[in-house]
Amino acid sequence: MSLPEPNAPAPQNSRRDFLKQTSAAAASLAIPYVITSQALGNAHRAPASDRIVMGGIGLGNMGSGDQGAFLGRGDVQYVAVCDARKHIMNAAKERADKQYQNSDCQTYADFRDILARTDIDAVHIATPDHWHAIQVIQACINGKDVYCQKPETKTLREGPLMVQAARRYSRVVSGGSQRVLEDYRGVVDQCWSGELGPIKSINVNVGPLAQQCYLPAESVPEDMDWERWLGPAPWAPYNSKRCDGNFGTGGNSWRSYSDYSGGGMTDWGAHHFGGATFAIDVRSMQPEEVLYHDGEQGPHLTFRYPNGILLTHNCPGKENMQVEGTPGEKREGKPVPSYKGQGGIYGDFIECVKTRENPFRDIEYAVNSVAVSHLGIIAYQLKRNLKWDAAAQQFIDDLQANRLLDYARREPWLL
Amino acid sequence: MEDWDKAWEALKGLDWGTDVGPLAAFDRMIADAHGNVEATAELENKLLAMLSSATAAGRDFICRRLVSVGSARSVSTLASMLTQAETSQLARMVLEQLRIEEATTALRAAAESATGAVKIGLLGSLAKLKDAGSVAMLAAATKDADGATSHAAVWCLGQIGGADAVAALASVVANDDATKIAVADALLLCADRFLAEGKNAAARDLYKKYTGEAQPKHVRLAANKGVLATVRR
Repeated sequence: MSLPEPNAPAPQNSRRDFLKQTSAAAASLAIPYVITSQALGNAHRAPASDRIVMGGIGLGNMGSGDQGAFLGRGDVQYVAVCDARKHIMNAAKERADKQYQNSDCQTYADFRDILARTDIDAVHIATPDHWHAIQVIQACINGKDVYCQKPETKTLREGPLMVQAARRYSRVVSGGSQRVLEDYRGVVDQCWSGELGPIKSINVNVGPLAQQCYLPAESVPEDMDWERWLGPAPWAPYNSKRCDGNFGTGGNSWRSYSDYSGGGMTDWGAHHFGGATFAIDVRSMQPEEVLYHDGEQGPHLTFRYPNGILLTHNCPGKENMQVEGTPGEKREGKPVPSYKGQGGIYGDFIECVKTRENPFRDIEYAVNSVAVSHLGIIAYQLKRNLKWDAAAQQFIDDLQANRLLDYARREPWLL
Repeated sequence: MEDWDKAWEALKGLDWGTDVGPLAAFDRMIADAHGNVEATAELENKLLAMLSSATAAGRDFICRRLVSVGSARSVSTLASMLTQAETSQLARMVLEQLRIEEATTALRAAAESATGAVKIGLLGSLAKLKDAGSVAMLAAATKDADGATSHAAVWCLGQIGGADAVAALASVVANDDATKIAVADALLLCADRFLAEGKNAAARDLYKKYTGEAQPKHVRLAANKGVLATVRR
């Protein structure tokens, strides 16, 4: 089959390419050329040609924190923001402009306009969870590296699609849980040092699950694009509690509701399950079985990994991150993986953007750890044991469970 | 059982802002009906019977339960919701998951007559189902006067893949960068699928179209990796 030659797209020169070329051209000509101190950089600021040009999508609670971290880096030039709420977006622009003492940061109502900018190298995404997959995949298709807040996925189906897009386009895609490495270091060191011997199990206590939301309608604030905020989620009337970005999961935030989040099970679960799967070194796999227990002390779960290690959820009598090894069977330790570069998880991402290595919370690890949360949510919903074929991304012999792998997105959003 | 009666009563009056506490019993009903054909069918029939008189919030709740207990019995009722903007997504939510020919046929028929965003949603559902029977309709949709629809059709063809989808994508005239990127992504996806199916020559032909210097760097990278993969295999 013959194909017409694809039409040549516009040149993809980045701002960095442009600056490098301009400087070189100027150097080769014996004419005066003015390069500002901003462009040249200094001890705390990389020259403009070496900076990673970034934009932000979703600038609320987590997004503004992420923006601050990237703005504070001398090797980043922050140029664009997008949010469904104008006052949040304008505040984010002001932060960037204040940092650089200019008014260059551009605002966008539609995240696709940021992704279409060929001068932007990377974006950070901190929208509600139901947006993550679409935005991460579109970012990869448009050649951007991505730092995406946790929990990175909203459904099981989304994960492999995000990994495939990242790998297809060789993008650096980092998840956004700093706690995986930083909060459970004692347990991680114990496990990786070999002092506990072969690990038998680890327990995670986290919750609650998200609920469906039938809050009453309220007037949409003037500066909010409600349709944009809802995006691929089913239509529902505006209510301030439905879309508040606070970190609660008790009914007064989007994190409480299942159209936008998995509740505490995914929100804190991304941290706890992420830390646990890192500690017991199963980040590259997914459980093959979920056992549902419904006893006097309430329902709880056991996830079984292909290597036999058990991960329990809310196991009665067990502490969060309580690990069980094999006494008397010490084994040889192995070095604990860590961040690259300087500046925690943000520095790790930026360093990897420069070196093209995989970041600490590479999207594949992130997807595998959040999959534990999603598998658990489905087991709790169906109240039964589940067998999971991770390679096929299907439940074995359970039609009902397979119907919960994903949901139809609201038009016109596709995934 | 009393809780269940309360749940059905609560569902009748469900609207945005009403107490949803009693509705929690539905998850238990569905879990208990698992593996029991009669009980599941009874649940499905009762939910379907309430659908036409339900409020918007009620339809929302019912369709989410039909995801779990729906069957071919649900198709005709849901099909009637597919072309209306207020209900299309809810109906697709169920029909996408049934994975039966009747559901796919209903989605196809609705997509033929729908326009705008509703059509895009329907095409997206068919793409998710990898419905090869939709390729001709999608090929026509790539020429839709509505840019969002034609753009969506390109994306859908990439999801479905196969020789016919490739031929349809090859005929897309891409005059702007967004369309060029979308077509490139769709064809690279088709190439990846050819590769996975062992059709290396077909995959290589597609990858090679995107290895040139005129392509964006990340597209070239993807294409060159693909070409290498066809050699390795």
